[in-house]
Amino acid sequence: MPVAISIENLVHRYNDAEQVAVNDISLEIKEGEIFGLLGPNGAGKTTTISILSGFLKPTQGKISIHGFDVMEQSDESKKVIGVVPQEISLYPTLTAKENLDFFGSMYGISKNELNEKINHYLNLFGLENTGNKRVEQFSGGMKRRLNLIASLLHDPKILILDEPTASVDVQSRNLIIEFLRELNKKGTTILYTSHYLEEAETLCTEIAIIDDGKIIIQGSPKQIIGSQPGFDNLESIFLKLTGKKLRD
Amino acid sequence: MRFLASIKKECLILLRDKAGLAILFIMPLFLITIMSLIQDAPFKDYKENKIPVLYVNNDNDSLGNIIEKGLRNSGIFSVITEIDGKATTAENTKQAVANGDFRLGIIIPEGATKTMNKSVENRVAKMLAGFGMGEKDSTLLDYARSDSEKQSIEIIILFDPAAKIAFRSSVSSALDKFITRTEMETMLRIFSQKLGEASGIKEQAVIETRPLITLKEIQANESKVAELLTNSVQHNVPAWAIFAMFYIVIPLASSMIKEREEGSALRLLLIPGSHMISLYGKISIYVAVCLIQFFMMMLVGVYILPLLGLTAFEIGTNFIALLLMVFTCALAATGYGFMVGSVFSSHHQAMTFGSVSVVILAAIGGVLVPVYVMPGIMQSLSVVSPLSWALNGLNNVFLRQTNFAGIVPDVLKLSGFFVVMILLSVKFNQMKKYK
Repeated sequence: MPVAISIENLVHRYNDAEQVAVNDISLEIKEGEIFGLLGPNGAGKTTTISILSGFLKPTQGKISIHGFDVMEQSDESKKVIGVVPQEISLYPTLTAKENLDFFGSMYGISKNELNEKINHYLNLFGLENTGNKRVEQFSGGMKRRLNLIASLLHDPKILILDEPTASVDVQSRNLIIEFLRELNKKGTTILYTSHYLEEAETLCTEIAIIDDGKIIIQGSPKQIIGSQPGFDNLESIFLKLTGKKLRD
Repeated sequence: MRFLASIKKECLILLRDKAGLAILFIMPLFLITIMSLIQDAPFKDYKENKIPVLYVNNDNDSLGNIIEKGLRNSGIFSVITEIDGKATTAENTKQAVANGDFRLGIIIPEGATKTMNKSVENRVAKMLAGFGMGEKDSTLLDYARSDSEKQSIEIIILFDPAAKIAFRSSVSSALDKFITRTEMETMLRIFSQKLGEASGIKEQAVIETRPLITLKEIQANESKVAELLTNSVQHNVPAWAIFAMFYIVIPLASSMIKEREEGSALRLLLIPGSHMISLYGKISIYVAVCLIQFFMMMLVGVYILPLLGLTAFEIGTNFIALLLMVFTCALAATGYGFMVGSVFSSHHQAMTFGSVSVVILAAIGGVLVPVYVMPGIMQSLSVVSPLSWALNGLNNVFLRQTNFAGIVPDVLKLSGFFVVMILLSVKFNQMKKYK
């Protein structure tokens, strides 16, 4: 299968930090995969995603998305990815429709097409009756769903999600996960981070567990579970590999 | 389409920010009205308001009466000869001025006219004796030879201790003018009289005492509106309108920091080319806000302030130059807001720096008090303030009725300031992005 995302020897050190946040990571994500990047707090997941999205310049290494160098061909690579940031990235005083209308227009989507997409996604995510409500009046789950919709309007080939189901109720989480499965079936590559290991185990086709900026294990959920005798689920393997020490 | 979407988004956000709208539109209206009313009296001090002066005429003769008449006719003073229904005396006048009830008191001593006449007669006699005339009047000559000229008249001027030096010297010089004139007239009268006596002519000559040299004050610019500089409305309306325009640093910087905090700025960074389009949209909206602000202030100056007893604001006739000046001023103000919003990471830092810096730039730029009344060092400093460039350019349009070329230096300075501010903010944003 063709490669969607290629990361080679990626290193990132934040200004004045003693330790590197990402320490020589190399991996390939193939087209059509649902790739789970898992790890405890501070492991380097968000830093890796920020570099992939073009927010951060890596200290070292090379990243390409669909053959486009992220640093050199930033605009081209941005066109093929949709990023759902960990934090809600919307205008709270605008309504759901106004937010989607603005971000969709910024992608250059035509008015009619955009209206169709907005109505389609609002219906799909159960927000059809709240489209004219300001985002500041939304619940956490509603904001998460809208945050996801805003990243889908330009039909990205790769969807990158940083903890998309954090702080949402079971219903919203279920809806999001089901939607991601459907989207993947239609050909979208998904890179996803989460602390919900059970969710990752059932959703992902490939997983990498990362700690202290390094990949400590990679493979399909079955391969990872099979590689650790005496462990029958991802969470127990995760704790074994990363330890029980609390992280900041 | 992307640009229009950006404009629409900025409009919606701004219209829903009630506190921001109040800062942008209501606060400047109050500022202009209040400052024009407060500064109206000081501006009128030497122009329309007469200075009340307690007058004690212990002379009750021609000198005391001439000075009183001169004060009354000067148009500067209003002469008061009674305190609480009682005639002014040296004692109650001193007390009233010392208490600060009046800023000025004048006491003409008893016998001032007689002393003056005697002194003048002596001088004339001395003069005539010098020409070998009038020597027959030996008594007078003897008197003249005596040391009697040391007698002098002391007119007392009482000042409120809080009165400023400029006020004291202007009053003293006005009073000195009346006294010199009276003294001169008396001398001419006696001289003519004595000369007539010495030459045996009984009929007294008519003496013309009208001044030979007079001063005529005219403005360097013959325009009618050139005289308007001295009223508070003409200073305060453009000055505080400029201040209000620069005060958009608060809502603008706040909106930029909010976008970063809310994450919407992050999402824009993910969309190719959208960051710059969003920047242009924001600039357009805030420049439009500044223009609306300014013309609202002008309307208040023209229509509302006269209802409060103030002079109506004169807007001048050079509308294209005015529009260009206001537009570049709006650009400069918006650029400054962008720079503050880009440099600072928290609302608190941006609000504190933004508001304090605008007040300082306004103070040195001549918004609070005109630059020409500032000390020399502050006048030199004022050239660094963009508010000073804006005010100078607008005064060129409103008061000096300058042609288009007259505003070019200020337009260039303000445009340059805008470009520098935007470049700095882009640089700071890039530094933040990759931090």
